[in-house]
Amino acid sequence: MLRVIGLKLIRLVPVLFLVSLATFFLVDLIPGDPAANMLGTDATLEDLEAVRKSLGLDKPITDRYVDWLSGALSGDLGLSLRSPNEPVTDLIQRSVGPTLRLSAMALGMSFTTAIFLGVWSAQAAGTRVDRLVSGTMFGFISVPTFLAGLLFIFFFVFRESIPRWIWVIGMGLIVLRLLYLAISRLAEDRADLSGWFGYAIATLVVAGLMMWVFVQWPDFPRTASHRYDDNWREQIRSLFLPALALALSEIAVFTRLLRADMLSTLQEQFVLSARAKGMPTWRILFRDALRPSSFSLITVAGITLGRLIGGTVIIETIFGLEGLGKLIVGTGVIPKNYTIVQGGVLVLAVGYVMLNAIIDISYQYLDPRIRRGRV
Amino acid sequence: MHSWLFKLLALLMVFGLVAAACGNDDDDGVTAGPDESAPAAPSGDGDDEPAPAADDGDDEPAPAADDGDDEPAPAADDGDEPSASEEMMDGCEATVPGTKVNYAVYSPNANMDPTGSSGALVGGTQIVNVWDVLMAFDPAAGVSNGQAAESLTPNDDFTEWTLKIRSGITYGNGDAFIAQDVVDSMLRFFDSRGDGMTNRAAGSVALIDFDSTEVPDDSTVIFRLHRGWSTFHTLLGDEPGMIVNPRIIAQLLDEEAANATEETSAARLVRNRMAVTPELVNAASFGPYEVAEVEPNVRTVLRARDNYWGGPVCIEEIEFTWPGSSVANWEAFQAGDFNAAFLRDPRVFADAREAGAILSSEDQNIGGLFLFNQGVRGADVIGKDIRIRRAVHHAINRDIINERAFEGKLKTTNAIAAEGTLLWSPELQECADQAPSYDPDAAAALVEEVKADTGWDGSMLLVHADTDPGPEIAQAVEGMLEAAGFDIEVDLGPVTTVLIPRVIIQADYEMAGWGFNADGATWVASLNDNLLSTSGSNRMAFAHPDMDAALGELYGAANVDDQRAAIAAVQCVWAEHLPAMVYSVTEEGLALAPNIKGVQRAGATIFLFGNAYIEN
Repeated sequence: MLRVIGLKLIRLVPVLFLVSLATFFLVDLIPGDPAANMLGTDATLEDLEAVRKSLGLDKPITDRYVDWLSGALSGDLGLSLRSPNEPVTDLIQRSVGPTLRLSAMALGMSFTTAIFLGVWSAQAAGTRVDRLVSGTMFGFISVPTFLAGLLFIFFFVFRESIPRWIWVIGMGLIVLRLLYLAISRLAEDRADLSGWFGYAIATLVVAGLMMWVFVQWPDFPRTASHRYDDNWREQIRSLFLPALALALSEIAVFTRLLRADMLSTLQEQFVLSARAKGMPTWRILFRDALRPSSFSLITVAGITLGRLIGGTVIIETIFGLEGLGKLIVGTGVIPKNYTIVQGGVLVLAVGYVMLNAIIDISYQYLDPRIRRGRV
Repeated sequence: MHSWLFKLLALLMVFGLVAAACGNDDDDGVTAGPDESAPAAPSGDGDDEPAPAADDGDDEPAPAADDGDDEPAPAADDGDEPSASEEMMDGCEATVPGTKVNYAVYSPNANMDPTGSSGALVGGTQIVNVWDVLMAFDPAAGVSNGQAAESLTPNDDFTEWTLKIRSGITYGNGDAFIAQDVVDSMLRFFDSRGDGMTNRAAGSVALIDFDSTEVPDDSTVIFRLHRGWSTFHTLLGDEPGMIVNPRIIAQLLDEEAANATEETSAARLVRNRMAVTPELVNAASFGPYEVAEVEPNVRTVLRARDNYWGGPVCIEEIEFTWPGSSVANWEAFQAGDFNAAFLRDPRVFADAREAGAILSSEDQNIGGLFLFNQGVRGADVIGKDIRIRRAVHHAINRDIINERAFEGKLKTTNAIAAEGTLLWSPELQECADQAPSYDPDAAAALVEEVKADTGWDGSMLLVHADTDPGPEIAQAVEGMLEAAGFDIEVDLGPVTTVLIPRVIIQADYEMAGWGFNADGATWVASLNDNLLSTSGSNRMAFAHPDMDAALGELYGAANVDDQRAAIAAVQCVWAEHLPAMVYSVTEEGLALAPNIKGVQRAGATIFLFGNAYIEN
């Protein structure tokens, strides 16, 4: 196992080297002069030349790359070119927290929703429910993240009664369906508690949830720019819409993936055996079939987390969240503050590659078939 | 069992419906944002606002420019109203404990140092609440009222101004505020030039003849100016009027002297330290608020100062954050995320005004214009030829820019002082109308004429900011100019890395989207900086003795009538020689929740919250 881990880590080195190379040279292609960004409106041509010299911009690009890489390897990503010239490491540390929270929340929402929808869809494969879920998921995938963000702002912030009543109607239909099932079972055989009591309890729970959410419906903020470092409830409230916008397409991907794996698992002998023994359906689905069906989901979820951390820039911009994406683009790329771009992208790349490596390693550890295959 | 189940279900449904009907989904109400169902409706002119505490003294000398008979009396002098301090105390008692203002800024600021700030758009309101100002400018009356200064009195020709500061003011570190501090603090503006800091006030501070400026005692400064300047008082409501304890600066300069390099001066290192060290700022300032938290270029949190010289500060905290754009500011204000939002986009302003949410706004004259390079640093450019400048005026239809880029909501104008602003006059408009108007045929004829005379191929480089709606403006102008025979190359880019370097540093442009942004507090400085033939900030190389003479008259104009006449004279020269093409006036201001009272203008469109309170 250690050898495998060691080999994987060694393979990361050329990847990271290429990433650093690409980052460094690509920044040079952005139009504009970084020295001008430092100078402001009172500068002269002489000032410009002096600053260019002090930044080392007059040196050959290869020399600059070597200087930067040696600094990065020792943890020094340089200073921001924008006043007050803070260390890039400090800026990244400050902005990575909001991005991590946003990404984790989006992933959590995607994961939990996909499990219920994926399992339900697989269980009801070929039915109207399955077709409805599949169609909805294709719809989710088709909506670009930025559009989802803008639509959520419009409906959840400025027309909040619409989603609120959609929730009530949607959940109300489920409640009515459960109620119908409970009553019909009750009419069939009053003495058989297992036939209708479960539906009755489910009806109560869903109806209670529907009412509770309706009553407690929060005022979603238009922006996520406020910080609520000591108030988790406010943090969730302010990050809910951007996280939902990010989660939308992930929900669809996860659901489709889990449905496919579940369909395969549900054909396995042990599932048929469990059914034959008369085990309750929920137990077969969530205790027996879900676990072996979730390896792909876990793997993709891990990769998605890495992608989300680096890909939240549009959502951060729309919702005014001061995260890593906004730092790299808003403070780095646009004003050609190249030390931030280089440092930020390097940190993202390292994080992404490391996360994938960890998933890769843990996947081998968790799945005996792969482990044996390697041995 | 059967009936029991149905009873339980029915009970649950009834309970749920009752809860839904009675439930209150409001949150904890820490912020006092506007109610969506009842949008903010403060009066546009702020007449219903209580007068600031600092303005109520009957023993105040008349404001410097308040000597004209045609000037309205300051609102605070109304003797029928309850005194401002009484109202403020009542307001403080009514203010809910823990209340805060969430303020959406136009652009985040990097630095809390007045020498590193750029007015209302970048950090003005943040810093004024920490440093305070000597004089507070009242744009409605065109006068300045004493704030940290008791009075400011000019001599007859406005070449000498006597400033009396208030006694008993102490900085955060306990040092007493004395008159010499005013001079020392202003001298710091000279260090900022060419040092990575920008401040539009630096050029104006240079008009003070510091060699002959006197400090006869600890409460008096006698400023002597290189030339008579009737609106000098406005300067003291801006960054130069924000006093930084010079003893702390001197100490910091000593500490940083060893770290300074050829490229990075000790002064800059001091500013950088202050930007990330709230304790330094708090020790060196005496304004109503202290810096509680700061993340440069992201957010600033201010907390009420316990021992503010002006009395109790009612609002405990102000958090300044940047939602990302003017549109986002307005949307977030409507949603209740913010109870104060700075707005500048005309498209948003129209909506905000319709909702009655604007507390205080000001038209920034010459807010939209196109500069012509007329030979900066001896460059041989086509803009030198007035026929080309005239052709551009003929070719561009301001209404098309408005429709294409601003949904028809921009206030277009051909005048340097737009109708409705303080210094507009019919005489000025008459002169403005003498400039070439939209006539594409005349434009095409002029272009052909220049091509035939000079061999010029019609090419022209237009540099423009790419911030929304810059691309639409540039595209509209490009189309109109090309229809007249120009061959336009458009260079769009960020302000800091493309527009400013191209126009200011390299002077590598022929036509550029720009703005002078002249308002009541900055008319003189703005026009002189940009148009005076000897000004270092003249970005166009426009030089004409008639313009210099007209600008000189503007400096010395004693009252609003004189200023109107002087501006009209400038307009006449402008219309004849066409240094640039004005196309709009830009409105900017503050949208404020209706329960926030007592917010006071300091200078330009920056706002003091020292006397503000939130109604319960």
